Amino acid sequence: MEDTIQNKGFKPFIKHFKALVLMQLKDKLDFSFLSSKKKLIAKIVFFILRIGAIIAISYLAFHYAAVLSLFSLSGIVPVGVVTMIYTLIFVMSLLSCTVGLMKTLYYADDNRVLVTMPVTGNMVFFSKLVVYFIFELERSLTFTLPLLIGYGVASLLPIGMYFWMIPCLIFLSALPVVLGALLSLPTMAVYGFLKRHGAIKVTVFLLVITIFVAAVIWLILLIPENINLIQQWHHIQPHIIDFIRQFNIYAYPLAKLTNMMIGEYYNLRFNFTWAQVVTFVILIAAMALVLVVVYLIAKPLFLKMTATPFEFEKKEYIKARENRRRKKYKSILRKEFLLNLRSTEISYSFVAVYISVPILILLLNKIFAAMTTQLLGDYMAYSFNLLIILLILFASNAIVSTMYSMEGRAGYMKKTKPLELIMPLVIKLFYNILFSVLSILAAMTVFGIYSALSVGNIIMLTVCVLFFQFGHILWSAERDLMNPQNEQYATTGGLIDNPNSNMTTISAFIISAAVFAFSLKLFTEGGDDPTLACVKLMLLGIAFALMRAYLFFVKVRVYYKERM
Amino acid sequence: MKKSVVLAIMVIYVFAIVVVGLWGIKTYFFNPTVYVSEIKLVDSEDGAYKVETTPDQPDVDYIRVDYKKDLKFQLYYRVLPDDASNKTVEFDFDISKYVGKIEITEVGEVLVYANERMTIDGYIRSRDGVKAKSRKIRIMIRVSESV
Repeated sequence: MEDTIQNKGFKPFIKHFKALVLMQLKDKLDFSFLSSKKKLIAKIVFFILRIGAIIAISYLAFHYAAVLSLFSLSGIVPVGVVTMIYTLIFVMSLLSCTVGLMKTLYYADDNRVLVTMPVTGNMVFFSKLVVYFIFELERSLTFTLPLLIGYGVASLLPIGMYFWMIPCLIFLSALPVVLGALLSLPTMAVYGFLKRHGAIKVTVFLLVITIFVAAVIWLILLIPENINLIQQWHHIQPHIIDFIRQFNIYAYPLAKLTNMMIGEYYNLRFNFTWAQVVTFVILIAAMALVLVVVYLIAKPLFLKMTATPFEFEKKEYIKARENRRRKKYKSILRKEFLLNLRSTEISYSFVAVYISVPILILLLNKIFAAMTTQLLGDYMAYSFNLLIILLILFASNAIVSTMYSMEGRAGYMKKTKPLELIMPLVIKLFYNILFSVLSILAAMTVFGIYSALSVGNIIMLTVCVLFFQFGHILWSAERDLMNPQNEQYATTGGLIDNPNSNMTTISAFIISAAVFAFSLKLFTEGGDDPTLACVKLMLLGIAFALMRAYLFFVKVRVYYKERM
Repeated sequence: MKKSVVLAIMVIYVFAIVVVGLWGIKTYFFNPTVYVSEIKLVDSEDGAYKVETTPDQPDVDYIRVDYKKDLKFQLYYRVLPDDASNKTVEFDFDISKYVGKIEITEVGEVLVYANERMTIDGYIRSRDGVKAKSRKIRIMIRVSESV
């Protein structure tokens, strides 16, 4: 592999390397706009608008934070706040680079194709790093730089500092990439271990989720009942200033990097200092050192893994299980459970959506509880609760609009099952419905605790939400059945812009907005007693679900009868 | 869920809070003028000085600063309550003994030109009329051998 370069020398090397990088970029980015002048102009205009918007938002945020003395009494936002924002950006970049590089260096299928090209293994290895560097650079120049410019304008940074930021950001973009390449090794070890031990993987995943959820709930419950920021501000602000100061002590390297970009504030202005140049030189030296370490440790492993033919890959030992005979429905339920569990897209969506709904409702109601509302405010709060619950659940049903198609050509097998055709179709929705019910019950319980509504009214509203969700799930599934995308999924493995999902998302916004408006109208019309409004909403939900169920069953029967 | 959908839901979520906060809360009639009850100097956020008080003179805030070339610092203060109607203040120092050696602006910017031991007394005063509050301040500039 090392001798595969046909033409030795610097120019051919650059040519080959560039081709290699461009090839990988074309795989990951959409360059179709280059083919049309119109698209290119639209892209440029949109790009400029986006940058302008980020600068404007950043400027306004920092300007008003300074005017309101949110983080400091000095009339500017202290550098420490920028350090905190930069730390967040850096940590996210580092995580995405570490996981991305681990996958692309050690698990990507294209490695086997790339090493057959007239290039050296070193070139393939470094081209992968360069691709990630380009992504990071794009993110830095289109997000971090405008953000800093906004800060600079609000804090009267010297003009020269804006020009100095650019080389700084170019080199800083490489930092998460080289660190990510180094961290990809232990990450791969953990990933490989979890992949081999499914039970531990699930346990760790559940543990992380549980800790995260518990921490979020704990934080939400800390919100005091009666917030009066104006009255309490002089107690809160010193804590904020102290927190920023402490954060900058603990995140010292990142504070130095922030200072390197925007200078130091003393004598009531930002100043360019030699310390910035020294930090810049140290940064380059440190990255070079890490790169050497990566080259010495990660590159041999990368070459070994890509050079191992897949025929010789270690086969995982799969324990044989006796083929048990199960009841028809149980068998399909089990199959759907395994399919959902194995599809990260579906299982993560389940976890993210169904757990987030009650948490978001808890936060919303905690905030509403901190306000002293009038009757109209209470009714608004009830309607917004319904809106948020329905909107999130309905929008998550976009995945239901892909479920049948996602089976690809295997989807046609459902006709061969020894069951009424409708059953496998409905059972496919079972887990969505089950987790929706649990999520709705949890969310409505939280809503019930914080609202002044009676238990009976809460039950009626719960029934309303449940039936709306049943109806929407059936409607979403119906879209997929009536306009199947099985062939696209079978040939491409995925469909980014699924028309059925898009329609489901649009309907989610329209229906939830309609329910919100209607419920607010009913509550306000009912005066002091919201019972009649709750009854009407419940009946509306039931009617919607019955209508969608009827249409679903009728359409399935007609559609499959014609097809068969 | 697509990023744009998540973003839209977040916007609606925040919108819900803002709408209830603006149109759903009870309105109270209150006295529109809130007078300043206290002014105090606070520690410099950029580490230029710390505010000290002594038990025998608890109503005076002391600041000690070592001289260095082009010394310039801001006096930080806090006006209570935070919802005071007029939070503007003025600094009033007697620098007649040190003309040309130190300058203190009305907004509390201190510029020191001479490496000399100096003690300047003054006040920070609220500007909300007859009920104006004030606080006595003593700034001490110490001589630095290294300059």
